[in-house]
Amino acid sequence: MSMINYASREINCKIVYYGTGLGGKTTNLEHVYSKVNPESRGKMISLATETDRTLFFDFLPVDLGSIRGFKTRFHLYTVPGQVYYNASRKLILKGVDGIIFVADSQAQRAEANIESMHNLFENLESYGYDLETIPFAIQYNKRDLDNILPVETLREQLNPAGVPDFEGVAIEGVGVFETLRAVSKLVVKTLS
Amino acid sequence: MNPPGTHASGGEGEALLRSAVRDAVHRGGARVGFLLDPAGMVSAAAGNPGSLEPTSFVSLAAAQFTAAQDLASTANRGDLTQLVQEGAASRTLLASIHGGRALVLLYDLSETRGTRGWITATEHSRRTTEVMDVDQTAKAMGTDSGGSEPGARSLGDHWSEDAEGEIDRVFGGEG
Repeated sequence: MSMINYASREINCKIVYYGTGLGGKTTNLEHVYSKVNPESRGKMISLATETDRTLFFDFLPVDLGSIRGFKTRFHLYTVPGQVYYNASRKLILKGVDGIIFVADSQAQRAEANIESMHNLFENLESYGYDLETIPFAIQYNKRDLDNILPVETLREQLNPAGVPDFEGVAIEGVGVFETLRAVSKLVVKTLS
Repeated sequence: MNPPGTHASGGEGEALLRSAVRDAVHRGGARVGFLLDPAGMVSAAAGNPGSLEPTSFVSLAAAQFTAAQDLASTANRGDLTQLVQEGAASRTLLASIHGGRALVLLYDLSETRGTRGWITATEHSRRTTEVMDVDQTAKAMGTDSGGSEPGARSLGDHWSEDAEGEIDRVFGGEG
């Protein structure tokens, strides 16, 4: 839940990129880092292995500035996608305000996407959170590759609730900001 | 740290907690101190960060402490209430505070130490006076989360509209 600090007039919102390993979560964040005005963003932290696989999380703070007297900041996190890092994934979900699920569109990753989505539900449930009440969007990434599933198939598999979804080619920046804007706006709506 | 579930009453309690953090920094000679709410966000800060980037520092400190607490619980079946990490020039102390909060204090070391990268967990009974004072203040506040509250009060449609405008500006993706 967004934490409103009335004493210091600050609002901090936490958005988490979730999804299967090598699906493009870190690539999304790197694109945001590269395109957001340096005055609005802080340092990007990546706790990764030597082969650039996310080990714990990536973190990027983005400042929206002062909005009607409240300094408003988004904290963007990714989780490690590899199945055996679930304890780390769970930690990052604490206090989450919005979630972007980055799905890998390749047919051979369909099962991994579904498994990761189930894992998201399980981890949220362990905290007593309900995804139906948390701002949530899905990005179908890697639309530029061969052997990808049609978006309609991905929707059937991953988005039965009909949350906002977007096609993406994160490595080229396609769909990155569309997805982020959608979730960010849903998050601020929860505060109005 | 626990998921958010507490609501701030604001006012006197949070002022006392901010004051306790300030006292902890001054009396203990820390360079800077942060009190984190249950979601890992800063609810009170004191001292002078200098060249330190507070957001990165706090994010890493919160993650490290939470991971260490989970590790203690999983591997050692115990509670971790305080963690100290010491390098050549500074020492970071992380301590759990009542209500799912955490206190992070950063001390500059005046002389070069022989121990680098030293890290230790300490028992509850060995917590410093500064930590215990902040903890006592937090206990006196009950479930108050120190000035932060999870969207309990509405900010209104105008705020939301302005925020959406800022989101379009900052996340426009135009570089």
